[in-house]
Amino acid sequence: MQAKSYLKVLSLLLASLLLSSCSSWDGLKTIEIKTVEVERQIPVQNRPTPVRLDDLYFYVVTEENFVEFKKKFVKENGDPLVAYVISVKDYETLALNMAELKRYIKQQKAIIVYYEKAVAPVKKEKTQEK
Amino acid sequence: MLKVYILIVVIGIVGGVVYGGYYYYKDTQSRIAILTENSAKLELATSMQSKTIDTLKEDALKFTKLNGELNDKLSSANEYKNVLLGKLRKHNLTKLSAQKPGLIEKKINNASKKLFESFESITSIPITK
Repeated sequence: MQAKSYLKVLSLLLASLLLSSCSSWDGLKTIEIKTVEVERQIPVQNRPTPVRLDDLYFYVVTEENFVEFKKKFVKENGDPLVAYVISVKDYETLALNMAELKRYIKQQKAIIVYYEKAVAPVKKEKTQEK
Repeated sequence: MLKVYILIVVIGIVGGVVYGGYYYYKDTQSRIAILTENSAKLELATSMQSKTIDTLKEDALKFTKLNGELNDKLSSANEYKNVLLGKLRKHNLTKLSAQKPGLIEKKINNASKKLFESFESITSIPITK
C-alpha cells in the first residue's frame, strides 16, 4: 500500500518535471560583445648618424695670379702641379646642386618629423580627462 | 449539483483572470527588461559614437596643424637655393673673380665651409624634450 503511494508521488514529481521542461533552471547566458579602442603604438626609429664633412679648398686662379698660385700650390701639395679645374659656370652649378641637396634633406627631414608627430601616441592627460 | 458547476465556472474564471494577470505581469517585466537593455546598449553606442566624433575632430585639428607646419618647412627649405640663385644672378662671378681673386677665393671657401656646417647641422639628431 505504501509502495503504491510512493510510486504515485514519484510519478507526479516526474510528470511535473517533464511538463515544466526544466524551466526553473537558469536561462542561457547572452554573449556580450564590446568594442574597445586600442591605440596603435608605432615605435619611432633612431635617426641615422649625422654627416661629418671635411673642409675642402677652392683656388681662384687668373692669368695674373697664376705664377703665385703655382708656387703656393706646389708648396702645399707637392710637385708636379696637378689640379682638377672647374670653370666659374661649373662652380655655380656645383653650388646650386649642393643647394638642391640641402633642400631635399630639409624637406625629407620635415616629412619624417610630420609622420613622427602623426603617429605619436595621444598624451595620457588628455585621455584621463575624458 | 448546480452549485458544483457554478463553483467550477467561478474557479475557472478566477483562474483565468489570475493567469491573465500573471501573464501580463511576466510579459511587462520581460518588455521592461528588453527596453532597459536596449536603452543601455543605445547609451553605450551613443557614447562610443560621440567619442569617435571627438577623436575625428581632434585628429582633423591635429592634422591641419601638422600640415601647416609641414608646408611651412617645405617652402622654407627652398630659401637657401633661392638666396644663392639671387646672389649668382646679381653678381658676375667671372668678372669679380678676375678683378679680386683673393677676395672671391676667401668668400667661396667661407661659403663652402658654412654649407658643410649646415649639412652637419640639419642631419644632427634632434634633442627630444
